Amino acid sequence: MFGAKTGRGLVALMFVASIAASACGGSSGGDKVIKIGGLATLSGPFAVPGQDGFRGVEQALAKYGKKLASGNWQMDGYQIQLIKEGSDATPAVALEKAKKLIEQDNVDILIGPLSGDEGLAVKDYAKTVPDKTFVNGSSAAQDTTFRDAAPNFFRFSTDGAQWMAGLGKYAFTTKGYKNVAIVAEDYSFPYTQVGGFMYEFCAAGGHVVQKNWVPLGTKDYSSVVSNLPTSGVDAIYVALGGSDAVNFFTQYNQAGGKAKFIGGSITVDQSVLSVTGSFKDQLAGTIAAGPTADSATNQEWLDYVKAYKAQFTDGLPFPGLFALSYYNETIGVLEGLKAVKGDLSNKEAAFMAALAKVSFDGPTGHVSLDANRQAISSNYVTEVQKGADGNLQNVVISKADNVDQTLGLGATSPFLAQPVSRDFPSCP
Amino acid sequence: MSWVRSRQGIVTIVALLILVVYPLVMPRFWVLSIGSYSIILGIAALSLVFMSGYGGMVSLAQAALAGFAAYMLALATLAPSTNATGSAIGFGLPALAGAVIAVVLTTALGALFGAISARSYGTYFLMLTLALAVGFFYIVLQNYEIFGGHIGFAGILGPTGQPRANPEVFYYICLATATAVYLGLRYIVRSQLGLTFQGVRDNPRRMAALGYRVAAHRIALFAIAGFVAGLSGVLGAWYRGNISPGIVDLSRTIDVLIIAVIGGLGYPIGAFVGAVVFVLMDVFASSISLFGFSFDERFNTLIGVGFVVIVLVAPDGLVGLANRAWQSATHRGGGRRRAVDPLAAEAGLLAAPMPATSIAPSEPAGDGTPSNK
Amino acid sequence: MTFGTAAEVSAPALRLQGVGRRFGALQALHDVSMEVAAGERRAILGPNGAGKTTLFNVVAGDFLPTSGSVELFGKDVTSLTPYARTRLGVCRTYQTSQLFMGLTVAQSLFLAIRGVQRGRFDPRRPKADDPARAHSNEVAETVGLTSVLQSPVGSLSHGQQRQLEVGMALAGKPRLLMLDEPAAGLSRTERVVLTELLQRLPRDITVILVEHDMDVALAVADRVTVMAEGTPIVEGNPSEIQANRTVQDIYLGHAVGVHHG
Repeated sequence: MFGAKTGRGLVALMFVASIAASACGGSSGGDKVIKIGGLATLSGPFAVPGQDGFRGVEQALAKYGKKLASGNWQMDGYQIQLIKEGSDATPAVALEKAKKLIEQDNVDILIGPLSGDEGLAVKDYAKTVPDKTFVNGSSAAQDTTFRDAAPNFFRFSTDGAQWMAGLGKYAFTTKGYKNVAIVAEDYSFPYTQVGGFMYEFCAAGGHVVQKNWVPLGTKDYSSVVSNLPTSGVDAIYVALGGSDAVNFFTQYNQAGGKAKFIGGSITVDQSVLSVTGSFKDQLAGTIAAGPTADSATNQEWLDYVKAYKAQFTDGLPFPGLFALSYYNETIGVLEGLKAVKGDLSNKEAAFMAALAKVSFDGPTGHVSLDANRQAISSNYVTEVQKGADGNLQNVVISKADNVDQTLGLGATSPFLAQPVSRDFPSCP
Repeated sequence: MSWVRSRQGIVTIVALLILVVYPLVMPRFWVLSIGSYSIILGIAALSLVFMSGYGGMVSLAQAALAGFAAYMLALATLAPSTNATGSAIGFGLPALAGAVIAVVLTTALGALFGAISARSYGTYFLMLTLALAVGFFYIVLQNYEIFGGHIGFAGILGPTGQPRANPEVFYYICLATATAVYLGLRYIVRSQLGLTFQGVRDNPRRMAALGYRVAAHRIALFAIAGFVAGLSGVLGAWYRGNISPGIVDLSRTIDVLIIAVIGGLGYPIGAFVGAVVFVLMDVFASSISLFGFSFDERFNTLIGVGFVVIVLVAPDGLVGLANRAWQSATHRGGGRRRAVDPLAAEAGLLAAPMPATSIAPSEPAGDGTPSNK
Repeated sequence: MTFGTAAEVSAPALRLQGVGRRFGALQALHDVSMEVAAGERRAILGPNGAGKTTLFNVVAGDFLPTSGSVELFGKDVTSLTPYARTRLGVCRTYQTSQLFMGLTVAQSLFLAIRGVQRGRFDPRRPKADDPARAHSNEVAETVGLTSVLQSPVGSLSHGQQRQLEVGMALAGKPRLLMLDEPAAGLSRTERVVLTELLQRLPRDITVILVEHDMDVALAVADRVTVMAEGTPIVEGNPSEIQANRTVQDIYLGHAVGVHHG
């Protein structure tokens, strides 16, 4: 068995290789074609957000150009070809797909990825390819841009800490929560969210008395629920996504828990509010914060939602925060290309310089970049309220504009002395 | 038969030449992301093919073993401060020393897995190794202080630094390792120890009656497979530069099985053929469009359909398919009947294909009921 | 009662004392006490379900007895594993062949020889002058498989597979050879060959034989034990057994009854 089949196996190998090589490729005539690689999560728990992210990219392309029969987008004097790749939300796969887009498909600009750890991996990779431009998708880890930044990595969306802007103050000052316990998933995005909340909450004088980190996808929260203090805690900050959140709320409610909730940016979205369950009454009054609010009424938002619904008949009821992030990133890229008239010569130097100066009014507010090429933009504080029809909905409490990455604390603040982690910041 | 052998010799030499020249003529992406990565996955799949083909043990723990090696490599070679959780773990050893430690420890873990599962057969063995793999995933996911939790470890450097700095060198390291593993396993299966593995595969009860401690031989086999998986894990960690629980999750476990099945569970070279096909499909499925329909957002569907087609068309894998085509083309039937004899020098290079390995090999329990005649 | 040169043998090859084996509600063996002297040829007869194969499995260690004790060559082996008993010199065959279908005859015999020697974990290829090679050739000749030495076991005829079954047991240089229906499925000619083979075995090998074929069993055996319902009921030499009324009733009569009924 060992040995004899070597030659035959290799023949098969080469055959397959030739098929694969002929299957890829593709070109188009006419104007110069700029290749943009799109990277989002298309399998695993974030597959639906990943598809919505690509809708954001296409919506932006449709706003600036016209789709041709070839599938390319006609811009003013050049075409854009969008090549999509899907990851499974793990950094390793995101990295493989980014390499494929950059090294095999030779894209000029990469937009993506979707989630925090993927973003950190792609940022590290970007440093090794300084002549290509990397633009974030919706990944929101702080250190993708804050520490050890890559000069060719740009982020026109805000990070997970910025998404908490206004919430800590609102919880302490208006809601009067002094002591809070935390239940959050154990990876970089919730670290960033918890950190952003604590920047304001701790600075205002609040205490975070306990942190419970649970693995992503945890179904059984009984040990967490029994570990939570039964008294002396005004609210529980919950940074869990989707079904994890529903499971926790249900089990906490069934165990007789009475505390109020504070949510992360993806904790109390419409999918959680529309689930029926005994915990629903307890959810009323839950405060949260994030870069989008379905019920916003500014004209840019209304126009954006209208265009989304018109372009994607199979889309979500509202464009989610993933669609918005990818949309803003793509708008940033297209504005940058416009500024240099599609000129990517000289290792994209002029383009990157122009990109760093791009600013625009997005659906949720003004977007500009700081010195680390990180977005400064708007953020909403929302609260779950019972509507006239008895259904729960998120209501906008306040909106903060021009939120920077330090949430106004300044880069030298002790809260920003270390990367956010399980143990930092801390104010017990 | 000598002309067949000589023609095979020529094919083997040409193939080896192509593999050696490959990185010199191909772009970096093809050298690293296709070539090197296929070899790394192929070594992991080879450890499974070795176990199933020569021990009748279809293990789902090989990805976990490879991942364990990567974690051990990270802990051995990273400086203490590099730990994602900030706790001071890491020994800052040189890359090669770390690799040796990682592979030795993985061999030991393979033996431990073997000791746990040695008395289980067929589906029970499969489930037990699956449980070990999933258990390992949760151990690394939840033990932040030691394994860095969801983020794991980054910044793992090989003896030549980042692979992309010297793609050809890294490729040759992978190719040399794979060749050495292949030849080493080929030697072992023809040794006295290898013969005992095949005896255990065919009839563990009879082996016990001949004086063998069957469990010990299965443990030894698992340890050797652990050694091989460990090499794959070390190369994989150098290749990626990082290790996280995502590398040892259920889908990676199944990837290894898929690769082995695509290539052919009974054919060691199939592990590498399967790996190449797997990697090419994974990379290029999203670039394929048929009749104007692009699969870019549905490439997983295309990959799944591709695998189903391969398994239906070639139940014994692509190598098995090629083998049958070769035999019918040269009018030489009965190839599967030919058996290797490690004792007979004249057997030469011709080695027997395994009897088709099923997921559920024969149970040794024998007559559990007192049926007498 | 001893056979061969009595002086060199002190302990019996096999001594069973009060051995019982229960499978759930079924008492397969019940209070079996038996002694087989070193060098003896013992046939065990009995109708289906008498417990003969269970007895073999208890002696070989495949099953542990639920009561009683097993002694081999004067050593208590009641809780010893099968491989340890094999290393003490107990080699057996099976009612249905237990062979290595993916190996050749030569490889199978080599494994059988190596099983009771050092080098079971030797990661090297066998040397050209390894005595085990010569030994496997001898065994192949003894059981008439020299011409198919390099053939895969799967390609052998049924008769050849039965010969290999015996050959593998012999290759382990047994002191106690236990044959479970070695003649099952053999042609008349093959039975004659087998009988002669068994008769030629040296007297330093003790043989216990379960066999339905009376011609084979009585031609080989010095003594015969008849079992019924899990326990020995009669023991004697072949002529005594043939003359015994009880045996005729419960075994031979039974067998004839089955034949005609």
